[in-house]
Amino acid sequence: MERAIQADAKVYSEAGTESSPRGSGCSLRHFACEQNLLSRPDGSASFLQGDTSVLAGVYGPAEVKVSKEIFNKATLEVILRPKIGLPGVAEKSRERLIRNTCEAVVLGALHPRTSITVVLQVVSDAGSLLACCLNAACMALVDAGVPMRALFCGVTCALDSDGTLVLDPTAKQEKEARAVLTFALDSVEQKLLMSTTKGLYSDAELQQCLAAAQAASQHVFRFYRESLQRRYSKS
Amino acid sequence: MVVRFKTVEPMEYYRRFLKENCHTNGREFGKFRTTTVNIVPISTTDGSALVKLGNTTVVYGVKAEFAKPPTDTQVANQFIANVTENSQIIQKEDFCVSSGKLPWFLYCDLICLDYDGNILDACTFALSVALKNVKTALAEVNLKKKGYLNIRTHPVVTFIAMFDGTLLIVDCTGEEEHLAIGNLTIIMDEEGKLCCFHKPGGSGLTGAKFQDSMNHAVTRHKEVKQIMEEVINSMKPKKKVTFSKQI
Repeated sequence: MERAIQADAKVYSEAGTESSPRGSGCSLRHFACEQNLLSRPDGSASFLQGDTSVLAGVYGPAEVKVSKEIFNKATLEVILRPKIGLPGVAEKSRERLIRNTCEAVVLGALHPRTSITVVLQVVSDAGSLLACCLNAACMALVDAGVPMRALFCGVTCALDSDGTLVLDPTAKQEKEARAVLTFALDSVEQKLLMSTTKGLYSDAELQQCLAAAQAASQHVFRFYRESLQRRYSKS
Repeated sequence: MVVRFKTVEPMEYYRRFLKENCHTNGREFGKFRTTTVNIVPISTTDGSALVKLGNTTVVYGVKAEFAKPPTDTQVANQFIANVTENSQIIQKEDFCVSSGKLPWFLYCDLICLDYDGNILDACTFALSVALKNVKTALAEVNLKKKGYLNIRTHPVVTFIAMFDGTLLIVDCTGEEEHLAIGNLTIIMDEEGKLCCFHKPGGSGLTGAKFQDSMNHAVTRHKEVKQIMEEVINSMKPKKKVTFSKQI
């Protein structure tokens, strides 16, 4: 199910100010996705972006603890497990970001007083981890058949010291970058669902990154569609 | 009767006010609550500040000590730590006494005395004011002069809550924050550079609303900068006296 995605010329022109080709930086890495690979959860997916890999499992809609029960909608929980060690403050803050993003698209009102739990396991981190987590979570939710008003995807952009934009950066590129911005976008109107940033950047650069992320999200959604089509045409 | 209505249908209660373009206490949208800064309320710290934003109250204390660099830094608040790092409010190199061996270690303790929404704004404001009046041997040893720390920028937080997918409200209270369907935190420094554009999920943001929120951030930055300068200036001639300034 593996497929390389190269951002086309449209992405180049929207993303950058210069017209010269900017090497391999401004394209997304290889994507791969496998769904329904775990037997115990209701839905599961493993998502690969280059060497970054995340495994996701979705349980639900299932019974909920009385203390966590919400009378008019489903309780959504996200657990992010790091590759090694115990989850720390950084993981908690990421969990919250992913949870709130999922909550915006999942139609929780259709399953009141139930729980939907998303468990994400980091398999390897080679940059753009949060974006990969978001993509894995979305594919696992689709696999579990949880009703959603739109799909969502995560895109990470990095800005170099000279202002060059790199989409889907590797760990090395992230480290060298002046600013790293991660966006979550929905599939219907490409609305901004979540955004978190690191480093200093200007208003214009933010707009530029957002435009590039919106263009890149089209490729991710196209990949989702092809990946699902391939899966369901088999059986 | 009003209280009962508010308890049973909080969202509907707020919508009535939102239609009239005001908060439940009559405050207009786009207007911030009274901000009060009080410098050096705690004498035992190297620098401290008390910030009130409406009812939200935060005390900030900075303590400088020698310490070995910790192997696993557990940050109390990831967000504030990120802001401090992203905005480069202080440069870490300034805190090195002998390279590779002994740096200064700054403990920044934030205590929230009262929570009524917009906590990050109050926290970051308190942080910049407290750091601004940190006055220790630290400054003397490293910067080879008596005085204050080298504060590079003043990040200013704008917290915006979204209602019903179309409405943007700045500086909302705790109750409003609870009812909002999404929020957005923008942090800007003096030159208008962004160091944080934080939108933790919630409903989507369109292009026009994006521009609106940026304008709010610019306005807020001007306001905060002005009162901060006034407070700092009022502090210089006489020391050991508590000053406060309201807008």
